[in-house]
Amino acid sequence: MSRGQQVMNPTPNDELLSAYLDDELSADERARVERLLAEQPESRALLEDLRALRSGLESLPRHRLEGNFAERVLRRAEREMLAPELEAGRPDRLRELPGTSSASAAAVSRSASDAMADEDGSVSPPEANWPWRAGRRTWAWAGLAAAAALLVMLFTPDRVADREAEHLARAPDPAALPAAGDLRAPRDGEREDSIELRMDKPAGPRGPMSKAAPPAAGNGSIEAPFANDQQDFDQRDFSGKEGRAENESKSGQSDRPMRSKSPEAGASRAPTQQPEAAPTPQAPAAAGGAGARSAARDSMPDDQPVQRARRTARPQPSRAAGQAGQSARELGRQSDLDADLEAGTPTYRFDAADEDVLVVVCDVPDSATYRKTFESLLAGQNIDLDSPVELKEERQRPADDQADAARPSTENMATLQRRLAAGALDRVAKQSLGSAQIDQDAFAGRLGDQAVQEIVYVEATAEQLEATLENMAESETFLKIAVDPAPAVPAQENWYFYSRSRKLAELADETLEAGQRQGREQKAAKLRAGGLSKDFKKEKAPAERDVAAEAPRGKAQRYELAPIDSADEKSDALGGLSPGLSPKLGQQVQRRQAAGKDAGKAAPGRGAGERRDAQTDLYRAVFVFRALPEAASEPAAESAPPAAKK
Amino acid sequence: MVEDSHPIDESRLIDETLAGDSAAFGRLVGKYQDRLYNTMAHLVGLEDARDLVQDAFVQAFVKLETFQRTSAFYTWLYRIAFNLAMSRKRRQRPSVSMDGLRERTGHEPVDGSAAPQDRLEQQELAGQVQAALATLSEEHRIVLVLREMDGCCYETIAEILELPVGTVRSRLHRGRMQLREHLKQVLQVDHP
Repeated sequence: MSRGQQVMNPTPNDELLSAYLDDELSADERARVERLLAEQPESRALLEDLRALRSGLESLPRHRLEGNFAERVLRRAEREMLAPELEAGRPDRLRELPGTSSASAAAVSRSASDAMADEDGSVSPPEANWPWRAGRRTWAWAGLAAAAALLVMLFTPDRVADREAEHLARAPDPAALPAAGDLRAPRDGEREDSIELRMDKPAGPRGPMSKAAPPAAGNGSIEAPFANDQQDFDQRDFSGKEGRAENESKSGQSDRPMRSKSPEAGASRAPTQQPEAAPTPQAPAAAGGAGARSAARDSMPDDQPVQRARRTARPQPSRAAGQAGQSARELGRQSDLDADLEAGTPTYRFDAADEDVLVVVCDVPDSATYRKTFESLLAGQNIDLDSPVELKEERQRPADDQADAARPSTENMATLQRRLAAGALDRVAKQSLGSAQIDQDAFAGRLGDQAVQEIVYVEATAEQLEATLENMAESETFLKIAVDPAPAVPAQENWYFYSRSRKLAELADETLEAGQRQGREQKAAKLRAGGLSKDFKKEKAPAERDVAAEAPRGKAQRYELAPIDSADEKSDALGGLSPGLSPKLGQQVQRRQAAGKDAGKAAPGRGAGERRDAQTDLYRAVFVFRALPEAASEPAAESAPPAAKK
Repeated sequence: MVEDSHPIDESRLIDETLAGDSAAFGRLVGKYQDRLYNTMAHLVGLEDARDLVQDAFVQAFVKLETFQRTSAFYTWLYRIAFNLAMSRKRRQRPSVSMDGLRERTGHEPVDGSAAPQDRLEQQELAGQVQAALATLSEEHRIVLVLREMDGCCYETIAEILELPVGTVRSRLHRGRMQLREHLKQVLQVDHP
């Protein structure tokens, strides 16, 4: 029978053949089909065609959504959930809604106004950071805030009352309430989020994302993005069409991204510059009598990436509040910091636990092979390797003598590096690998003397980092890649798709090539569980992934790990981040450290939260390379990646 | 792909979402958005797929409390998406316009008889397959996409589309045979 006849005259057995291709037959059926295949050449030809069709379908391009899609989804979902509740006048229903946070509650009025503005239900592009993290706050505060916000919206469309109500509804600690003068409406030019940032985050369940995120370092660490949302609400709700422009004009008082081109606004809005660094006329930097310590902390230099801008967006005491603006809580934290510093706990410029640091753990065959490749990838993305990004050690020193961040001693440097590696591996193992079914145990337990070869810290744009990840995923050099996106950075949320297991990919490919369809789904599932589908591997890196020469220059610094000499040190390193290096402390020390730096230093990077200008916003990433020599990989069980094959 | 979801992790993310951590749902979205989008693009076109996927996630978020977890989250999500697609289809147009689908997917159908003499390049083949796929009826196209591009087993496809497994098998086969008919010249070039 000719092939054309086969096409025109499929036999009843063809359906079985199709199911045979899919490995969806019972043992009996399978035996029947195999007999058929042995006896009938036309059946074999048909099976061959069906396989060719499958290959053709698998070759179709894969469509992908933009990186901030999840953010948009959540924004709209929350809006849709909240609007009916508001219309029904039952904001307390918020407590029952999944995924609705106190940020949602606080955004109730905003959501309602948006809903009114967008009667067709269309979704506006996100203008502010999504306050996902605020979901950890308790429902009680959500309900209170929602009720207060609703009341304000319905009955007192007045900024003053609005602020008061929200503030009262949220302030958990009456003792910490600022002076009454603080509750007035912000004047033009004053930080609008000053009151929002004063909120404390009640202890609540922490989501998976929060593991890598520091606890609330300051009142503003979590609320800052929300404050932006609130600001949007404020502008839209009460300023009408002028709101956006007014919002822009107030950039100097916001920790939102730098958008204004005016020197004045730009100076105060530079993402890497702390809001406090540009005190408004109404809120002088002196912040009342906070003293030299506060003043130093308030003068954050430009070289602090965005998460610091977000974290350190602490309450900005208004002039009316005066010295009272320096809350007792803040002073208490500072005391803690002092105690930590007095204990001699070192810190470093970056921390794997930082909430917006991307962590990439790569298994590589050997240092000689991967280094060249990685250098080439970085160079291809216009990222300068070995830029002067240094690990810094900070020890207590007088507040007026912080100009130089001391280089850590050799032994401390080794410890810091290991802590960093431990933190990165721990974070990846607990989050990305835990969800991706890769050999989590092998990853988590393999921080040994030889495992981690080096750490490369990178500051680059989202495009540069994504292209680097994509090229790494394409490269055969990197046996395994595990990516832990920063939970607080929407643009990074999808980057974990670049995680993959080379071994599983090879297994799947071998199986496919051999035409052994049995177990295809399971293998494909495992492969995809690695985050990177085989189809992805087939795709060529798009030309646009190669960042053009005009792209901003990223910078990278590598740190080779020195041998561990003492058991204590090793134990310390294996233990991950020590309490002394807790994120909270890290932030505070960073503030302290940054305060002493030259404020005029050129900004090397901005962070994810300030990603309005994708061409210039810089993200922070830590690449941890683990060489897996054969001898070292043997005990790592069957799930360990294979040793170098080339 | 439906099968690759890690049930424990997925369940944890759902729990955390229900507990108020919308970031957890954000991770679920990030995990499945491209897969769902890719699949729905073959059903309704790229432009509509974006809105459809967004609506599906929003609905899943809003209705998450009703998710019984007797199936994978992705299966449930798919079902929502397909129900939305069908609902829209009923409201807006009697059937998917072939011309529209071709325009939206960016591929023109290729007459099999006009297949080139030489072996097609991968990209050209993809274009031909895409165009041929677009000529299939919706019910055949979607089972093919779910099976071949999403890697769903028959049972999962049946669950998503709320069909008997036998119907899935039958539709899948018919879809393949139709596709084979459309691409017979290409297949003959591939296998002279």
